Amino acid sequence: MAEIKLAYDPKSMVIANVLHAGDKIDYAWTIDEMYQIVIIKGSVVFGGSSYDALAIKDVQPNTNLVVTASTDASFLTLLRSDNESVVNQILPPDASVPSYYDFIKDYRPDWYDNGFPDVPPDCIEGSSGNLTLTSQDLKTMVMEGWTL
Amino acid sequence: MRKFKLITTQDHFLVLVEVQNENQEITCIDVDTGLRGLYPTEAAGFIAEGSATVFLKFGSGDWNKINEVAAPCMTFFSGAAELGSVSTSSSYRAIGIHPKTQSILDQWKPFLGLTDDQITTMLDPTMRESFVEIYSYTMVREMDPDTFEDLTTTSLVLDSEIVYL
Repeated sequence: MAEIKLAYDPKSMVIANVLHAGDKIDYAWTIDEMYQIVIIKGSVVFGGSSYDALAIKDVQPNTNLVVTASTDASFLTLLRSDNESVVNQILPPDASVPSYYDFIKDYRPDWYDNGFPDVPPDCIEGSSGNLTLTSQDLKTMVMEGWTL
Repeated sequence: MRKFKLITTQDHFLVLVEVQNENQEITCIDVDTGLRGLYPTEAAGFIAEGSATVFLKFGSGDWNKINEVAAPCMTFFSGAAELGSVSTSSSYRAIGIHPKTQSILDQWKPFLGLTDDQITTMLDPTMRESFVEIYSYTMVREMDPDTFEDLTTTSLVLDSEIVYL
């Protein structure tokens, strides 16, 4: 299945999207500000047009992001975690976490104190298939932190 | 051969590295100190194609190989150790993603060889909705994928010059 990984720090939130040819990723959330995706490998169809790597495309406010891969492809979704409004729209507060914005802002993995990252790169293996990315999926990944 | 591109987007700046040979160095080098990728700020990275080995070095110590990575691969950096990386595939593409702020650009300035004018351009609000390539350059630096030894500067020593003690 198409796979995603989330990286974040107090300023930035990046979603890596990895698709096999024919896979579709559908974001089940929108935000009221424009953001951008970077197609870094392969070819994808987005908004009715086809784009080859390397390309950067705007996702307009209040638009569901739906991307279909024409070939094996990867794209990155670029968001700012220091924008409280954006974070609250993607990760609305719930009973367990009153503010995901505050959680991200204050998050410091143990390895920050080591002087170097002890988080190994997270290499992705996935089979073909479509993926709908929900806010809950992202909340789960945020709360897992950098424990790859 | 290694190609660097620095791209500014709405909220981030991106460092794209493309390599077209095995054994090519991937990491950035501070133009003032000669130190490699110290990652002065947190940075997310994504390897989209190819494979590489990753090394760390503390102070004047030796390079230690810590990872072998293959795309697709998400990674994250932060810290004071020098970080080096060498391609182990004939084609490699990776991207570093940084939030676009004055302070972060200032910290990355020596590693990316940025000028004040380029930083001003990147932070210009009129560029906010643009995809702007700040610069692109190509260089060759061949490294040993097991030891991180610089193969481009290694000099040959004749057998006759070796003294056995």
